[in-house]
Amino acid sequence: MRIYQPVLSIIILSITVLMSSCSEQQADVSNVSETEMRAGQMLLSDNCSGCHMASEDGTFSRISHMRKTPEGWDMNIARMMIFHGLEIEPDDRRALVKFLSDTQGLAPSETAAYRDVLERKHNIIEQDVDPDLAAMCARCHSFARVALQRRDRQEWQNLVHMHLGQWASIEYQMLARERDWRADALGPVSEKLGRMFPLKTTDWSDWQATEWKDMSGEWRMVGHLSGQGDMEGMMQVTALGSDKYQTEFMLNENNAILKGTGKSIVHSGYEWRGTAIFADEKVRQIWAASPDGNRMTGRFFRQGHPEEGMEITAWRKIPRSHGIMSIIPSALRVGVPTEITISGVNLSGAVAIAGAVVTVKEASTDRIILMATAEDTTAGQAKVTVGEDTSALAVYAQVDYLKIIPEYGISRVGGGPLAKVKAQFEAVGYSFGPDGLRDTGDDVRLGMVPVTWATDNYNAAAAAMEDAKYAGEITQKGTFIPAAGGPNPCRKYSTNNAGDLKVIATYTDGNRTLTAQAHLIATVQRWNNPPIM
Amino acid sequence: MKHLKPLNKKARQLATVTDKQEVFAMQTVVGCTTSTDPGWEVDPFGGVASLCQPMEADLYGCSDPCWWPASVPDTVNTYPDWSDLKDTRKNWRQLQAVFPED
Repeated sequence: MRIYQPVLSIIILSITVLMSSCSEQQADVSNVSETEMRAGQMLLSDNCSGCHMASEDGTFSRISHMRKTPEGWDMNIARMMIFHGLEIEPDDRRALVKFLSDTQGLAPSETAAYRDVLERKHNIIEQDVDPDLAAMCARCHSFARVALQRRDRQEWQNLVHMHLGQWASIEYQMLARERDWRADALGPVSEKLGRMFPLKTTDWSDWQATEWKDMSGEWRMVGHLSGQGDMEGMMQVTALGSDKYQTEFMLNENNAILKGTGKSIVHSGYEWRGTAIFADEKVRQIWAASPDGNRMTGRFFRQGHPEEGMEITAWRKIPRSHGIMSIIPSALRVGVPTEITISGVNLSGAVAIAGAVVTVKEASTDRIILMATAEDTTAGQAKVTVGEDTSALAVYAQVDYLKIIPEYGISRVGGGPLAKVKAQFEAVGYSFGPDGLRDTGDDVRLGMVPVTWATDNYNAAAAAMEDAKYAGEITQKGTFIPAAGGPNPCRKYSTNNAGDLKVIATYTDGNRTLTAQAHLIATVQRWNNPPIM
Repeated sequence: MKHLKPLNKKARQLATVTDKQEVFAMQTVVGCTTSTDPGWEVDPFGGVASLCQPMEADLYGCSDPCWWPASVPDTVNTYPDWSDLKDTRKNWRQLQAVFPED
């Protein structure tokens, strides 16, 4: 054994050096101050330690062995209120969510694949979920609810016990009764989850060791409101301390100026959550900052109506940063003079669109407004140049086909305490591209095109029940407004105003008419609407 | 269906369907519970024709055995008072959402 001793000593020395360098690196960055740590521990002690045992090392049973998003922690506290009668002041609930998200949150890379659900986008279809986990977990709720948590095997097993204790029929529901559900859930499934989503990851420890950036400053924003159009504008962010910010918005949507003010908070160093008031309307923001703190992406949506929202991108205005963020409209028809707005940060230099005659009407470092006329030979993607910055604009002779987004939508009847959940559709035009064929790689996306909207019964069963007559109406902005909830005595069996519908968009260009079709499920209410579905 | 004999009208209708599609869990929009037959928002065929409707007539048959706890509050353990309404078909407007918003 003696011959191995020097090798062993070197290994131990190396590990010691590595550990000390890691701890030194961590010690250099303190994203959560000692005061905040003490206040957070006090909140845990005051609100949670009655049930969750505190250890000498400062950890609490269960709580200290998982990591979650801000919404995940908030749902956790809500569950303690519902299941165990926890009484907690709203301010303490918010402070606990903040403390737990900062100390036991998820790194940007750990939430990246699941942001659609976190941002409460409507009509999301989860793809590529492990079939076993889809049957075990995602048969009732989104898989994202699972994938946005980190626990070790034993803690995943505790979650299984909680499910079984709380919802005893879980073992004999469809997709459970065909298997030894309990043994599978506690055995291979917990093992797999512990392997896929473990408590300790280098992603999180590296993110904790990264300096979390202050978000104050001037931000340039662009966005798209489904079925309505594009937006560009500005956001001024002022720090209020403790990762809280005052916000002021000046947005331009279809040449209408919208002003708003609000407040925001940043969790886990990048999870931007805010509310703002625009003309007496409250809107919420769920955005994520890039790791360098200079870009944000996410959604604005109406308070109480997450289905009505706008996807945004924001860039911080900093001296050496420049680039084109959006071009409105995103397509230029050959031979038709069109006003185009180029939005970006620190735009400067000559403006050109390949194959088009351009006349600049207004130019600032934020925004260039120009008139452009494309020549007959330039159909396809045209290069747009502003000084050193480049982007692309679709140039087309005619719209060749349409697609409706989403292809499969959902709405819900409403009334009483539950508002109707609308469904928003948008028609997107495409040109075939050089090969003249549909659905090939060279097709050019032209963006939203104006259409007329209609609904019809999806199939013979829907026609027999006259679904299209009762389920609701679609506006000429592509918004399906469902009918009222409750049994409808005018319908067969007094059935609800649910329906299985076709959504039909019709585009007219001279004598040419194009149509596209999507599927809409107009269905019943749900009374359990947590932040992560 | 090779080894199953349809016994009632609905089963016989199913047996004659020729364009059967395999049903995958959660191959529908997030927020739709597919946990059991026929599903809360969508039926096994992705439509609404085979749902229990009007759902108010059978709502407590859904909430008592916590059939769809992610959508319909379960009254066994979690929300025992949710079913206090006398007649859901008349009083459905009083049913409350259960997630305690901040």
